[in-house]
Amino acid sequence: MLNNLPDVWSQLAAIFLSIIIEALPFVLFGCLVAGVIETYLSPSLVAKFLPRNRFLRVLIGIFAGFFFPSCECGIVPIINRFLAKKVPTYTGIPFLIAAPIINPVVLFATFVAFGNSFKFVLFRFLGAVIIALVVGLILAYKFDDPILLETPITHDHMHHVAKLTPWQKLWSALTHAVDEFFDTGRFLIFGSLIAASIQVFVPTRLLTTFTHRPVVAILLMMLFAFLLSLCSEADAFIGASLLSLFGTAPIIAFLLFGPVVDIKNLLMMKHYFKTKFIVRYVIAISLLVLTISMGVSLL
Amino acid sequence: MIRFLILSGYFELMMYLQLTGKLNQYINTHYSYLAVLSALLSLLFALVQLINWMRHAKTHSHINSALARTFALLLLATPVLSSILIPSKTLDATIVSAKGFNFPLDAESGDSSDGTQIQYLQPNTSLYFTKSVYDKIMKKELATYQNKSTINITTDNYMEIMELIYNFPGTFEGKTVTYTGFVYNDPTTPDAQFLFRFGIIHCIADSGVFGLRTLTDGKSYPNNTWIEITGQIQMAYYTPFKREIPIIKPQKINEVKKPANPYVYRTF
Repeated sequence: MLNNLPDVWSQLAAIFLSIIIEALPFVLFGCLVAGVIETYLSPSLVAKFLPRNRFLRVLIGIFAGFFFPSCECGIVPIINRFLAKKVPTYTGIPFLIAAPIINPVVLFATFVAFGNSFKFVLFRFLGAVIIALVVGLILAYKFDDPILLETPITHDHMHHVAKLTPWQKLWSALTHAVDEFFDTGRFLIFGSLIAASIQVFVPTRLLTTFTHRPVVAILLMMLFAFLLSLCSEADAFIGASLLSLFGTAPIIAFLLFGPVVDIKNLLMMKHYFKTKFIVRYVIAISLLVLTISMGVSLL
Repeated sequence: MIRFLILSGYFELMMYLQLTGKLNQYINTHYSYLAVLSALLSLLFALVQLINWMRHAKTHSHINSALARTFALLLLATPVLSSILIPSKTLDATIVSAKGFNFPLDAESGDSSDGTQIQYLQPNTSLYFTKSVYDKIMKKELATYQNKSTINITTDNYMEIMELIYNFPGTFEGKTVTYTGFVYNDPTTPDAQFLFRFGIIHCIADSGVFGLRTLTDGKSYPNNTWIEITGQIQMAYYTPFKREIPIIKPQKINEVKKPANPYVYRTF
């Protein structure tokens, strides 16, 4: 079928498919875990275990992310539920920043994507921790305004879960995982299509003229991460495929910025958070990512 | 129902690639467990969806308009559809000219001044390691070939040797090598004939062309001709790169058939 298609198109399809093959298992697994969290973890449970000290609470927010393998798309609604249950913003927001990056699934995906190397895993982990720490401390000691909308459009997933039998609970988690996949999978496919097209249609020379100045290259990759809106489980693979065109520092910017701020993420945040907060949030994250990546480029 | 079809489509696609061995057309088979994992998970998801569909459970979606939902399903179906409808093609000289190939301009390190790395022509795995580890690996690999005067480059050691030749051109100068690849004539420079293969480090999205410039034996070969070349490695100035690069002065050139698997892989 379609045998007389020009070579470029079938090669585009081949590259596209290869990105999908690599990223799909991680997205599927991420959705599975998101389903489990949705069903088994209640916000009041988390609030009970928080320490009193503000700094410790920021740290808890950051490193709790390690135990919550979730992509950024699944995490915004969870955060909203946490905040509504009186988890402080300076725990919730660092969690929002760090969780999509520092959890084992994403770190392992990053490890695999960059040819089984620890270099990018380390940069990504440290970068995310720094960003989450800075934003968390600012929220803890500087701004303490409420950031949620007065009447948030809540979306109650917890309503009936409490009364279910263990088997029904498991089933609800699985069902939720499938729903999650059909909500977020499209962003992966869309991103892969764009990445594959860039590979086939944009001559390397054109990109390298852009990427000659590190600042420009870093900003370009941040914009790219924003537009592509990839799941953090999958973006390492797209990032790795662009590594040879852009170099280390811009790819780090891509890996740090994408999971924290992107189109689909912002759309979801607008559902729950005040616009003033979102604007400040995006500006702070952009400056931090830029600074860290510039630091990396000087290494 | 469409959800179930898409999920089982993913499962069948992954199993098909795995069982027919076509997976190596897409990714380095070092990572084939990824496809197995995909297959298992999408099978699980498909079964969950199947049972829910049979029970007429309401599906839950955050996408609100019907148009957006249709579009989302269509997007999710693309990997399956494209693999059925579009015949798989291996990468060749067409894509080399579409992408263009480039080369790190700084002769010393292979890093251009801004830290950009261009993975063309010269395999460069230094990005993936710290410097000391990389140097150690290079030294170990170099020791194997250092004292040989003729080297037969095969599918298995292709990437390794090409990286060594570009990193230590002095050591390889004067040695005779034999290898197979496809011809690429650089359209910007007359008489610039290269003999390339597509090398896969991880998946074909990160693949690049690797190989050497060859002097002609008087005949000119069109793009994508597969040839086996035997010749001596020399250094020559190449104007577009503004530096000396290793080249091959051919003693013998045979036209050969395109190999069943045109790719070479980086082994770890």
